[in-house]
Amino acid sequence: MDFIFPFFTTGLFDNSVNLFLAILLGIGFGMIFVKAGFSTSAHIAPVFYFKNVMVAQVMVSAIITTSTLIFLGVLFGYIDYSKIYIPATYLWPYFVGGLLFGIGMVMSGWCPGTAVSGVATGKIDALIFLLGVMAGMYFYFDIYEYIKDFANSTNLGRYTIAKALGYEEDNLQVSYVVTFIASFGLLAFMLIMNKIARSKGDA
Amino acid sequence: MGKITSIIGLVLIAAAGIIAALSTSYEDVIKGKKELSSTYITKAETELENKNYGKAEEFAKQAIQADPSNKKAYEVIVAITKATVAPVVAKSEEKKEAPKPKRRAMPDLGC
Repeated sequence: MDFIFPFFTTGLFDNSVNLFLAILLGIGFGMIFVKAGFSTSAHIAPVFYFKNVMVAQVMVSAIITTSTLIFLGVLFGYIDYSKIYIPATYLWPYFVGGLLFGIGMVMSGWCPGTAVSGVATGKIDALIFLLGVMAGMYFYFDIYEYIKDFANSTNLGRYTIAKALGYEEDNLQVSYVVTFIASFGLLAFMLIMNKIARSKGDA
Repeated sequence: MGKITSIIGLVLIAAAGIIAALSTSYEDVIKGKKELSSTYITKAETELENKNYGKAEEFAKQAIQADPSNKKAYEVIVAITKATVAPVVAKSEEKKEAPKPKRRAMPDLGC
């Protein structure tokens, strides 16, 4: 074994190779996005009303696959966990931001990533959503001066699930098991609610 | 058919993850880090042999970060320091030791 992931941060790829691969991976990612039904709000919005759980199934499958591969990679010494970028957690700003994001997602049926694939496949509602996102970003930078104290508050740094539960930051067993249970729990909840919605004739 | 294959694939991956999580402990993550550290060292030594001292130092530092108890990593750092600093020191010593040409008090007038 003479390679360590992630290749860019552990020195196997330089900037140019990394950017080239980003384009290839981006194309593949976009194709999977469209194939999985993420490029239409008709698939995304019903998730919140438990009428269609396909998107949730795809998301849970992706979370389980990725977290399992990362976990096994770290365990067998193929992945340098310290080189995986984990952004700092700003507790309350993230909570408020997530709340706004959730409201926007339920109202529109899009999130920024899916909206880009929606625009690429010719969806006008996705384009309007993206224009709204840009206006929101402009507005945010306009008012940033007034809210910067809050936006930079409660910085917990590199805060993992294991750390939040009182274990070592890189204790992946704990993080993995919690992620696994939460993901399947979410999927089970969605499936049960979908069944209820179906029995009521909503779905 | 495709759906069944996907479900079987997901179940297999999830089963592998859960078995690994339940049959290992945090010590195994530490072991993984030690293995990682030795891979970094191999890379550092290769770079050292090729006289790419910057890259060799980078890999050695990553090896120390992954496993601070890795003695080999420190040895590589020492080797890099010897290879890069020693010639500079030797040169400056040479300069110090080299006898200065004697300056004549008077120009040679040929008499």
